[in-house]
Amino acid sequence: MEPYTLLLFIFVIQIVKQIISAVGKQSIESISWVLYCRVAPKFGHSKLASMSQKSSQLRTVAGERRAVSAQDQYAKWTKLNRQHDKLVAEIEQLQKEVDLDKVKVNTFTGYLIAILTSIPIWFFRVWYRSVVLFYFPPGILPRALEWSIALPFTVTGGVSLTVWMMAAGAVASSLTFLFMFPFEKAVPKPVLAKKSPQQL
Amino acid sequence: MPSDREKQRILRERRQAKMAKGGASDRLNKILSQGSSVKTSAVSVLDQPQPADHDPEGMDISTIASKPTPEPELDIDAMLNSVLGGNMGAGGAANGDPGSDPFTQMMMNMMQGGGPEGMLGQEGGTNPMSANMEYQQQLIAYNLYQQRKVRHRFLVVRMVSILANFVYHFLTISDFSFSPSANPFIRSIPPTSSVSSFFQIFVAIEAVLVAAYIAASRNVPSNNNGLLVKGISMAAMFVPKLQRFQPLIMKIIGCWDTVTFVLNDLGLVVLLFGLISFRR
Repeated sequence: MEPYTLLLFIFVIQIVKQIISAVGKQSIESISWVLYCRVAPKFGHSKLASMSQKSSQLRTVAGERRAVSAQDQYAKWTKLNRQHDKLVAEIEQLQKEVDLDKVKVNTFTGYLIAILTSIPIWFFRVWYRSVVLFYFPPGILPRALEWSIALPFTVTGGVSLTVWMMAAGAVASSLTFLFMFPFEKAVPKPVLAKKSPQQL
Repeated sequence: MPSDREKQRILRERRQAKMAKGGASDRLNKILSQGSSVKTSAVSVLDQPQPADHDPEGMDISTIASKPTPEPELDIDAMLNSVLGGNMGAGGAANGDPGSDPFTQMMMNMMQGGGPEGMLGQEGGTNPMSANMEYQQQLIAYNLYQQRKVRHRFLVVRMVSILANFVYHFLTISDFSFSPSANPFIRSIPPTSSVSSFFQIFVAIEAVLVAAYIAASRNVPSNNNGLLVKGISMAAMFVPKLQRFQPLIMKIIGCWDTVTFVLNDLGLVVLLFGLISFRR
């Protein structure tokens, strides 16, 4: 792999890692589950398709039941009510079966996050540990600083993957903080409640 | 013919008469050592001297109840005083006036729970203690937010100033003196004199910003709620001498904050040079 490609790849991974950390793993899992629920029935997932079909049926039956008066048309209302109860029971049963799929989807999402973020970093850290990503032009940084940046495996003036990862991680973290902080809810200054004359 | 029960009674009486003559221990040891080589020297209870006062068959409860208990009376207040460092002694619990002691008052208030003069305040549901705790929590959250706000403002200034310094040198130095490369030949090119100004300006920016950050951080009270500080406080309960090192550790933590400040800026410089290293 070309040093510049490697350098960019690591930077993108660090950015993705910070975004995942900022968004939260649980939010990503819930988003992936919603996406799965929308996409899977189109690819022939029978349980989800059946569940969405029964849910729409339930909505129709519930609407019809609301439109019918239980006192005036008792027979029709009872029939619709039986249908409604039956559909609710079937949906609950399907929900239990689909919940197992949710666990699988969450596990898969966790693996995907690890594959996208942690595993490449550890692989590159070992495989390309002695590769020089780029060299500083002489005179820009003091010699001592160049030497310390080149640690642990590179010649003076060069930047290794370890230092690049640290730099990319720090900058990605700073950028995340820079863009996320303005959206945080401001905390107002608290005011201590004054004591009543009785308490004094 | 005597019945079986009669026979047993006669035998029991005969055995008791024999035992009454003495030699019960000899008989016991004879029985114990029968059929084995064990030599025992057990003493039968029948041969042991009996206490002078036998248990009366009927117990007079009134005499027992009227007897004073000889157990020494424990002074709980004195014990608490000694445990709590003697602060209570001056307060009044030891003087027989529990209401005038602040610790006792606090405990009584806590134990009274939902009473109108206990945990709840007199004005229907506002507890001064819980209100104060809530205020402290809100104050901690507010201070944390203020710290983050200061950090965010400084981050913006740092990034803008470092980027400006970098872009200025990148645009004004047109030769290879400011061009990092994956090719090691770049190290053999002698630097132009203006290249060193990049690091000089960087150091000047850092010095100014670090000084300003330290000054700004002093205005925002810190909560001292770091894990390390909490750990020291807990350890100081067992080893009080550790409390002396807490200010020093706080100073080190403050310095570390500044060090990460500079290291992050250096990381940004490395990143910027890395991103333009595609140029040959």
